[in-house]
Amino acid sequence: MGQPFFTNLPSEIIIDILSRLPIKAIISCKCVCKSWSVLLETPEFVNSHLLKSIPGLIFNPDEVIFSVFEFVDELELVHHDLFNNIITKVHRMACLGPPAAHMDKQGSADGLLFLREINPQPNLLYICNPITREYIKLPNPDSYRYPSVVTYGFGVSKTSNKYKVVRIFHECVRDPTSGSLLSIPKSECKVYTLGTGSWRSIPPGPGVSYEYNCRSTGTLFNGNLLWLVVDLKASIMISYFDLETELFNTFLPPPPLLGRINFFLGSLVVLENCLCLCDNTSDYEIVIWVMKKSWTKEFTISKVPNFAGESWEIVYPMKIFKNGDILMTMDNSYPFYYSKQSKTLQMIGNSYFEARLHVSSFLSLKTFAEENVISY
Amino acid sequence: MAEENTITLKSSDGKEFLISKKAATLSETIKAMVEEDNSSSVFPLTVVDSKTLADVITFLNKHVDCGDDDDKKKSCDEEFMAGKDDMKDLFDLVVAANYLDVKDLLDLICGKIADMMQGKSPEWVRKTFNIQNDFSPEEEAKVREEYAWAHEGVEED
Repeated sequence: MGQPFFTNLPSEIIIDILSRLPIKAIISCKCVCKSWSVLLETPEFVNSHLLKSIPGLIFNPDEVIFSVFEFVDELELVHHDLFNNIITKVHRMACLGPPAAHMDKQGSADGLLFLREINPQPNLLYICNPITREYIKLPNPDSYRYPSVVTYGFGVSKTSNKYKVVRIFHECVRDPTSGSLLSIPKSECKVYTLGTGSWRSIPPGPGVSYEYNCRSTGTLFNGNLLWLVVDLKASIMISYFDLETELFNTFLPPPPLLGRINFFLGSLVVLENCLCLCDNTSDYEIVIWVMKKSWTKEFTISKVPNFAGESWEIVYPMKIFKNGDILMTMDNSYPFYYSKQSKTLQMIGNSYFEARLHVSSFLSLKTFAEENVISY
Repeated sequence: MAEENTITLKSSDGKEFLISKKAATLSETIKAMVEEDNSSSVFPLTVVDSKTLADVITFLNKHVDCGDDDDKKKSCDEEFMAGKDDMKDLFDLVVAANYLDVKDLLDLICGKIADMMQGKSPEWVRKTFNIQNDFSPEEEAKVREEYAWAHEGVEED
């Protein structure tokens, strides 16, 4: 037996090395020896790995399967295999255990995925880690029906690292013919902190006097959940909820969007650690605004020729590669990208599937007390 | 008598290396030594052998030359790492970088070792790094079973 290289290293260095590996290689390392299998379960390892991980993708090639994908090459994705054949180049594959029927991915934080079963009422809600293959079923919130609206968000607070699901419920009164919003007689917000086992009501702040879009979910940015909302004068606003202080607040969208409502197709996303607003309202271009000190129009992407025509869908930019290519998804359902070289938009494959950014992690749901964790 | 802006580092096997203070103090450990004792010009490093120390010094000098230019640092690092694939050398460097507290070097070598481990089987890892498999066959089967989905498509050697 030669020199036992790793045995001489302090555990923090072993963690430093192993936490750089892709998910499958880490799992492989769990089988190497007992001390590694213990080390790779420690919170120190889980955190070190999370700090280094780059968000990949999670997508559903069909209704029951969730495929998790890690980006292999940060530099350029145009020549990446992902673009040639995304389905077969999946690196992490996991079948989700819950009785899945139209599960919608409504948020992702530190490897935990928030899922909502869309069709039945009341909606079943799950938090799942597809890597540790664990999930929990959240207690049922109340039923609701149209014209009332429910919106969710999921994220982690900045200082105390609490994972929270936020549910905003609006009882809406609408004009029977036009469907436009007349008033919101009842509005409530409930928060579920992972590990507590129950929902809490949050006193309504300014955030709940706005209408939330039932199709949108909260965007996690810096410990806040953000939503594009409209006020009763039908003006666009951004509502945000600080997951630490549990207070709502609002701020204005980019000036050209002020007051615009009719058929506005906007999304809030995070690109390169900046909050961005992507506007796909135009038939000819996609505009991405970046929040720096103020809103800056950073990208104006022509939809001609492949994507021009009447605009129907919200576009969610997901990632900017180092060569300038931008990976995006259309209404969370099919991915495409902007090629900086050809200055055109390109489809990725031709299949329909829902993709969302997702960091893979080893954060075990068993870390949270008071939760009935199911392994699968 | 050494010049004021250089110091001498002495390896565990007694070899002496002259290095600029500026380069040497990129190591937090040496920086603390120099600050504590500014009358000495020779600093013994009892846990770093001469071969490894020579490498560390090459790295430190290169990084001083690069200044704050990250692109330059990156190409220097690539040059530095070229041909470094002997496991013993790499681990000696990790231990030295950790002891001397040179974050950039530690980062570089940890990254290199991790790169070498990608796509490899547990057997390869054990063999390459001389790690004893202390699982009983039942225990190993259990660990493998827990993440059975992840063990497909891994290189056997």
